[in-house]
Amino acid sequence: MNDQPSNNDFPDKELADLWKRQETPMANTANPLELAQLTTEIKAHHRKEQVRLLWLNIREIAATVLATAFFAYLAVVEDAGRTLLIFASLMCAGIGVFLGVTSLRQRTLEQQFDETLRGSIEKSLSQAQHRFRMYRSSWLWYFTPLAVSMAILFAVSIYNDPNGAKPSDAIVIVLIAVLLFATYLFNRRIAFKKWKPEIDRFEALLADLDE
Amino acid sequence: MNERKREELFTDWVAEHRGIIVKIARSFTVTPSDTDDLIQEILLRLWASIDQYRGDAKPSTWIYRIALNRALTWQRDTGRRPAQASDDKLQYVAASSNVDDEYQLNRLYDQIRRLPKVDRSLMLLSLDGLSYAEMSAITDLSESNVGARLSRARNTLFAMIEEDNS
Repeated sequence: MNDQPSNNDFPDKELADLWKRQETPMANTANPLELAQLTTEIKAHHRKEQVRLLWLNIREIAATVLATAFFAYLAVVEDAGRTLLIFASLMCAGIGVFLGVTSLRQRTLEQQFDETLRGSIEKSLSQAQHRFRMYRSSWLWYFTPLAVSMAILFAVSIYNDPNGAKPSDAIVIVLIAVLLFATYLFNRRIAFKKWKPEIDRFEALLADLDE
Repeated sequence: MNERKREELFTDWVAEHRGIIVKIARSFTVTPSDTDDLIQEILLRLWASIDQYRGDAKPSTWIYRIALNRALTWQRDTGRRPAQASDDKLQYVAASSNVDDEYQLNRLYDQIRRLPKVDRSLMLLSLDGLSYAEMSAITDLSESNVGARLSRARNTLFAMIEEDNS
């Protein structure tokens, strides 16, 4: 396999021979036709993965785009509380901008790592740390601006309603608050159940490499 | 790189170096189903990385890097199975024409799997006959570090073999 002069002569010749003799087939690489079929499948799978990632990005941004458009629309049609509604709209837009900027920053950071084992583990660690930070602090950058925007919406609606606040408003407010908080807790759970163990795993690998 | 050239390179690489991929996948997984999944993940990563290949390293070095990187960071995702349609296409056939060899190899793979992941990677490269310089280029470890770690890993492996034989 390796025709270069090597300072690595495996000491157990029998073992080395056994290793060299082993058959390493993949069922569908036996002939050019099957290999072409495999390539087509890998290409299709890769395309599917790219579409899935694109869809995830769109889904992340779509909610903030919709919320921004919604508050902007209200700011145009409502007479009272226009400034507050514009502020709410800007906050929702801010979430999208923050998501975009942090993703871009992370992608730039990942380009610095090379393709060696160390570089690859460091890259995976960086990705896991980014995800962990995003999920853990989602209250700060996602739910607080959203909650404030909702509060503004309710305040403006109640102010514009000639009958003032109704008991049903309080119920809706509490329900939304509970929903937002539950979603935040779910995000924190993902951060600590999924991404923290990943960080620990990659750090252990790096420590093993640096040993 | 255009699509046609990319396809040609990919098929050439897989035809010539599939042994690297299979051996690494087998060393980092226990069940045949996981081996198939890891092979598929490595092939996917290989396909995605072809554009980044500048030709400054040998294709085999590049493939070792991609395969080991994926194997080291791969973990069975219990919630998701990759492309079901491909499962019956990507089966690694473990049965060898020589039954005794296959038995010995299974034992050897079991022992290799018991090594720490980085030592395991070096052991695979060593068994494939790569030089310390090549191992250093793949792992980003210094050559002296490669030598020291490999010596320790071999001692551990031989101790395991001896223990299993006794």
